[in-house]
Amino acid sequence: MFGWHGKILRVDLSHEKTSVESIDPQVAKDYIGGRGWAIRYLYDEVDATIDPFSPENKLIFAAGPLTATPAPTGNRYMVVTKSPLTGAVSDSNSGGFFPTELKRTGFDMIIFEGRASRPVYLWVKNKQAEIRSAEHLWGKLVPETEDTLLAETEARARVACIGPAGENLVKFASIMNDKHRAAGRSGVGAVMGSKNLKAVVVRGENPPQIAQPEEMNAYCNAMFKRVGDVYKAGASMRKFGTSYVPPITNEMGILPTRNFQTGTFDGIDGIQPEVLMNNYLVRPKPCYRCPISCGRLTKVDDGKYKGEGEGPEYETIAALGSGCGIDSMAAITIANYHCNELGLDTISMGMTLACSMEMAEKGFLSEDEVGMPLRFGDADVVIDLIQKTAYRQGFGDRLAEGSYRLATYYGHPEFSITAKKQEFPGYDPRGAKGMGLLYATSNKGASHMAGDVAYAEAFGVPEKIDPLTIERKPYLVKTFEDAFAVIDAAGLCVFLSVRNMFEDNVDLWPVPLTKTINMATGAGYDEASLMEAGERIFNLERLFLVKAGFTSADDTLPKRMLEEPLPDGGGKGNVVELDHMLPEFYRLRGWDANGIPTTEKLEALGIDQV
Amino acid sequence: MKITLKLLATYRKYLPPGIPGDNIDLEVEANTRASEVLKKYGVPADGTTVILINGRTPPAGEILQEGDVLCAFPIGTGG
Repeated sequence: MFGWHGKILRVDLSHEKTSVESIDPQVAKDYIGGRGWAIRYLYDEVDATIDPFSPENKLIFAAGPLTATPAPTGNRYMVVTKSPLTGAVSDSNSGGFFPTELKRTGFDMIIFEGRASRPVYLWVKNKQAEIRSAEHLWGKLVPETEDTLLAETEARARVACIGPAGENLVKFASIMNDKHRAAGRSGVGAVMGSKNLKAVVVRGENPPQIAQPEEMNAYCNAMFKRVGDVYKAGASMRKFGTSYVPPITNEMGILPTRNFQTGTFDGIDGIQPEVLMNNYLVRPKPCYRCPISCGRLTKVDDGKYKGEGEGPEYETIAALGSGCGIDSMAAITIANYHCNELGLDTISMGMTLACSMEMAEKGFLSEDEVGMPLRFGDADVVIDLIQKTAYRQGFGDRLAEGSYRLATYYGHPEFSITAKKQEFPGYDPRGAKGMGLLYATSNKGASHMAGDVAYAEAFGVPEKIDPLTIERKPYLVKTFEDAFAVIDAAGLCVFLSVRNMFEDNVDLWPVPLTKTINMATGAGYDEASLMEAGERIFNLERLFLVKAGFTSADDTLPKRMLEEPLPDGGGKGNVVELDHMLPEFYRLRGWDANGIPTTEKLEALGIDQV
Repeated sequence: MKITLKLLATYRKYLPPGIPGDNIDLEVEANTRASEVLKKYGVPADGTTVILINGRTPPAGEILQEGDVLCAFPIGTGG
């Protein structure tokens, strides 16, 4: 095969055995790779009704056909499993260098199953895999775990691991790779912890064979240079990373503030991109073969706040910053470092803290219960509670369950700003209504990575769409969801792809992407078949949710989003008119009124029903 | 009439030198269009600019009103 190795490594943790199998070439093409291959295997092999922490759950690491190829940003992998936070499917994405090295081992995908009887890690060098004891690593933070593993394997290897949060089954624990990059969302790190799997270490010298190597090199090098020139000339993402976003979302009135009570933050001056750039930025740090370079190496030495690491990204600034009413970039950056070291998703951590702060301020959560006063804007308490969450100490044990379970436990689920129990990312959907429909219909719960229509609603990519209207939004959301499924399956980063791998309008017709994938794989996709594969992936994920017991009643948003108008800012007076968008979305998807894919739709997509 | 011009992200460079924040107050004539103000400050008008008035997406050719906040920033892919 070209682009793909066609090889899957299966790791039976219960018996500490590994085996290698080949993928059916038709399945490989129909599901592209990455997120697509992984859901095909998860759907076929895992009973959707199981407890996510049971040995019967599987944890899948999957690279795509463009990972480790000359394609710009061919550096992504996906982690797919049944999520302990949502009970739905997770497909958590990460870049850096680990995914490329994973692919170079000669495997496209690793399936972990069962549960080890002791802490272990997996060491894969080229096509050889070995399960080793990780008893000496259990309890260690992410940086120390990685350093230790590189010392006992190879200095040039790459590591993905969990921190204490994953070990302690925090429901939004992340899997960290290259120390600072996160497969952040939906608690994939907790599933890894439940399997007693501390880390995966990879080293490889087997890049995939390319069907048209010379053509692909020439085409991708030209794209790399063209995109790189745009960013070097001073595009925001190179200059500021994603930290340029808060003033924009604040201006639109959609910057989550104090648990989404409003969308404009009175402390915006403290979280301006210039604050990060002028005080804490060491240098930009790109992932493998990226012409954008949005990553930030940072260092804080500011009174009581001291540390070094990467970030914060926009989402972290929104969740741990404005979401919690914190306007100190130094404090946000330090809180980000702690989350990375402990292996916590910064979005769910920040928004769960924000939820508890609102409940405390409104008298639904006592100081005795929390063990300390809890108020918006108290950065020291946030940093303390991040630690307590990872170790499930005191009130941290409640926070570790995520905001939905926390707020429900104290009798007020309405304060949890979640969809399918996953915390919203950094866009208040009352002022960006496509995002509302996206959060409600995403297979992984609220997530911008499910199909970030804020690109169009807020940032003008591929074209500017009015965020406050609902017209065209069902079509926009469906198109973005399918396109993001293709990008995730291919092994690319969405930042580069949406602007450069599709034509420049909201139809997202994947002309450059089709060319690139065909040069890598020789599989002969056309644009329609590629987008259809994205739709196939989305629908198979949906079938997993249906089997897990989700219904159309779960395609919803918190009451605040549906009934309480934004109090000020650009979106003032607006709610999300979900009832007016959802039926049209179902119709465009070919689903029935209950949100279940029809037999005709499944047949048209060639999805085998089980 | 008075309006506020706010230029975000890399567009801060189009503000006059020495401006500490991201915005300035301006005196403009009645019936001034957003595009005319942006042109005066050298903000690109080639489809690579997002324009907001009072945080909202204006129709093309919108005429400014007293007290408006006119905001512009370059297109991008968010966070």
